[in-house]
Amino acid sequence: MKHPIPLRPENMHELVAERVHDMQLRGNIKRAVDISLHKRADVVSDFGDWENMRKMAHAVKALVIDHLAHYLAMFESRAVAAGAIVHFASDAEEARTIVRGLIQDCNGRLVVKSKSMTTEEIELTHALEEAGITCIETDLGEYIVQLAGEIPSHITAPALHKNRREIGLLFSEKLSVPYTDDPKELSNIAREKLRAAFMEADVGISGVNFAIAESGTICIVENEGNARMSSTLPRMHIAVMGMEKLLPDFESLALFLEMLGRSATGQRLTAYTSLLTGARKPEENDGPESLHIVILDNGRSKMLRDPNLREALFCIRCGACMNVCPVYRSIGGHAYGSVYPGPIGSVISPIFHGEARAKAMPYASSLCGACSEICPVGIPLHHQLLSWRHTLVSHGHSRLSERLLMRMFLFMSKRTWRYDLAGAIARALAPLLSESGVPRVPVWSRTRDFPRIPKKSFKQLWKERENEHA
Amino acid sequence: MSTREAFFRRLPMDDSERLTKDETALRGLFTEPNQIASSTLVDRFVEMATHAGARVLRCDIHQAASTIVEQLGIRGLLLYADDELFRRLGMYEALGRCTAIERIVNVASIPRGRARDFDGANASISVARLGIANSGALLTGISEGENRSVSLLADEHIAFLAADDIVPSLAHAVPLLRNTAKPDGPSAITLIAGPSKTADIEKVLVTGVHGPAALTIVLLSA
Amino acid sequence: MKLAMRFLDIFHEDGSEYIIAPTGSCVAMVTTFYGMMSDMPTAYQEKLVDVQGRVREFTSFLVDVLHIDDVGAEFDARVTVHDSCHALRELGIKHQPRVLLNKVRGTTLVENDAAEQCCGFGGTFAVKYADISTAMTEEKIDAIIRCGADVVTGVDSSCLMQLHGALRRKTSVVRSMHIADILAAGAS
Repeated sequence: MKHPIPLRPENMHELVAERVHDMQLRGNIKRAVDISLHKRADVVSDFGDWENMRKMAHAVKALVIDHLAHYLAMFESRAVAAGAIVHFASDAEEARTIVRGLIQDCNGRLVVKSKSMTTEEIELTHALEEAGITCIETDLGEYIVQLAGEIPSHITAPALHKNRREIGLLFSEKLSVPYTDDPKELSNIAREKLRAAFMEADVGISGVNFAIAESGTICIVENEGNARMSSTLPRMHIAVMGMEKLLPDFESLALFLEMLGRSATGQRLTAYTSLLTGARKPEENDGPESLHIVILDNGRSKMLRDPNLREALFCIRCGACMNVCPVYRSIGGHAYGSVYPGPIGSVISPIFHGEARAKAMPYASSLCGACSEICPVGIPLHHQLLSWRHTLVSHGHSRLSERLLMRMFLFMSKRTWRYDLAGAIARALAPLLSESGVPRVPVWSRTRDFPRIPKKSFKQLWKERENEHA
Repeated sequence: MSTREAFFRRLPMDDSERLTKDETALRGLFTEPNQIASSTLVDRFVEMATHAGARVLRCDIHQAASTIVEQLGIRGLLLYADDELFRRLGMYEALGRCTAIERIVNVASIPRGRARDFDGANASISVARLGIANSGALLTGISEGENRSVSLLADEHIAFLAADDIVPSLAHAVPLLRNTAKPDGPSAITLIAGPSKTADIEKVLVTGVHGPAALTIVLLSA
Repeated sequence: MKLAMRFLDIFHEDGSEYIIAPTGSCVAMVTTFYGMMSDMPTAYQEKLVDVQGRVREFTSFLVDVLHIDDVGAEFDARVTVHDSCHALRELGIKHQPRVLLNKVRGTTLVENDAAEQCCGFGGTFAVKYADISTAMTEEKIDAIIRCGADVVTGVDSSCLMQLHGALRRKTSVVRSMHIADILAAGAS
């Protein structure tokens, strides 16, 4: 099914309409997230006190976020002492400028990139391509969406929305290879195409899962080995991180590593966890000559100052919230139009894209709370979505018709006599609305029935009962 | 104002008194996660490593050299990280007697920046310093003679691990990590759990993407 | 805010020991979401604490306060439970309806595999994102039909209304009922 509407948050309603009846897509997504959820449940049961671990993880993040300047400065000085070069970028434009400049300064033409949501957020690849730098996604899921000209649809499984046939067709079309839909064969094709890129690239770009303040170490988790390749073979490694990725020490790292894989994909640990402290040492014969760490704000400081949003900075990007979200399951990540979809995406996207553009996102939720329940660091996501609605209304982002309806409801409910009058009118009109006494209302009545309007109100019945017993 | 100054300007001021209070409070709250494990440490490690896709061979330390020659079927180009343990076990000599192996390269001897010349080596061997029982992971990059490539570029990676070096969980690896991740320590420490893999296509597990397609752990007991 | 204040005015020190509501989301509104209203006047804080302490959801009142599990009801049917989101996640109501249903003569309790999943109602969400709401409900009723129940019950009327409409359009057999109606059935 073709989906021509551009993937932008301001297009959310149209994007949803394109996808909500796409049963193939819905099937792809449900199958994939259900597997993740089942595997997660299996490995979470390794521990008798997962709920306590969530509390500890929340407390660790609270400490770091509440003292961010301190831990950032510590991380910076330790990383520099180990030989890394640390840069600070206030916004996406600054970050793109820094990265582009580093690559151009070393005459880099070819970049290999491992999966990083932060680089998606700042639209780095596009900026590099515009500057004549070839930037190849090496994570299989990202490679697939890059070939398709799309953004990822899930923060840990970028191509979750596609099935093997769709990927097979994509590869045969874009890579001029014979069609296959066998996952192993498709993966081998990607491996072959990317091997030369790893060997020849001038620069490798990665994200950072955790940054350890006590030692200036950056931690990157992955399964394929492409992040290790990107951070080992090219002569320069650039690691881009949101400033909230900090952890204070190795004890916290141990806790978070126990939780990240389990929450994200139901793995006890991903295949590779790289702990990188500085660039290559003089006595080492592989590794990059230089390691540049770019620390990004881009609106995070705004979240930090808002007590309602601050906890969203605790996010470890595991994606469990979108796996369990009944809305996400029905429409997929692209329907949100943002690189950060689902519950966490709906909380942070209004910061990154601006309220006016992302105002549809916090409303695409029934506020069921399953996300908050599953979040390994205990972010109260559904409360934050409610808080955003409050903010959006007070900033004038609601529709007049809705405000009028709410005013009417308030008017009717404020005085008992008005409420009773409304009820009496409804009961009187009931026979006129339809023979069955069940009113029919547009949109609503396509799938729902109003409860049959009773002949007497609860108050009337209660009074009659009281009189009987008197 | 530099970009760094402008950046820090937007963060709340540091409150060192509250910091000490909060750090102390967190330390009080922190406990090691309560794991449900009924088997021994070594059995648990073997179970978890196998679950993560590794092949585990248990052998007596005195059989290590013959095991590697007879059971592992190494052929072609072999990379290895020269470790004190290998020297003690006479590994180099044993490997030299294996006719299927055409060439043995000590990774420390590879000129700087030439690691790519050895991409696609048939196998590589190194020593892991620690095994994590609750995930079947190996802590690598810490042994002498190791570099990043030895566990990354070959089609199969063979890691030796002493059974005594298995700890229950990551929390127990913290002292070693703290001691090693220093300005004068290795620039890359890597936890390895199973071979390279992906599930990006329909959540179907595929091994051997951009790292070794097979990981064999030779578990040595005294 | 105005309605919240009015609610607190009405129920604060009204002489009642408990305020019972047959709806999980109403109770959650008072116990959880009232507390999130940052613009509530300080004068109302005391009223809030008082009312929050006394408001209870119906099944929780029976099981947790009165310690009753058998109300003498009789209802011949295979019944499955829908765990409403607010009742489940804000109030922790999960076992209470099941405890009560287990004592209803003639009732067989069966579990469905999407019991804790949102029905799709969510208030204004059902109108703003009607198609997503419907898709979510479809998943729920498929699970309900699959588990072989005659009746789906729960503690929240809005959820039950959402499920009822979708069930009526898909099957003539399964219907939804509020748990209070089941507990009142066959009662002497």
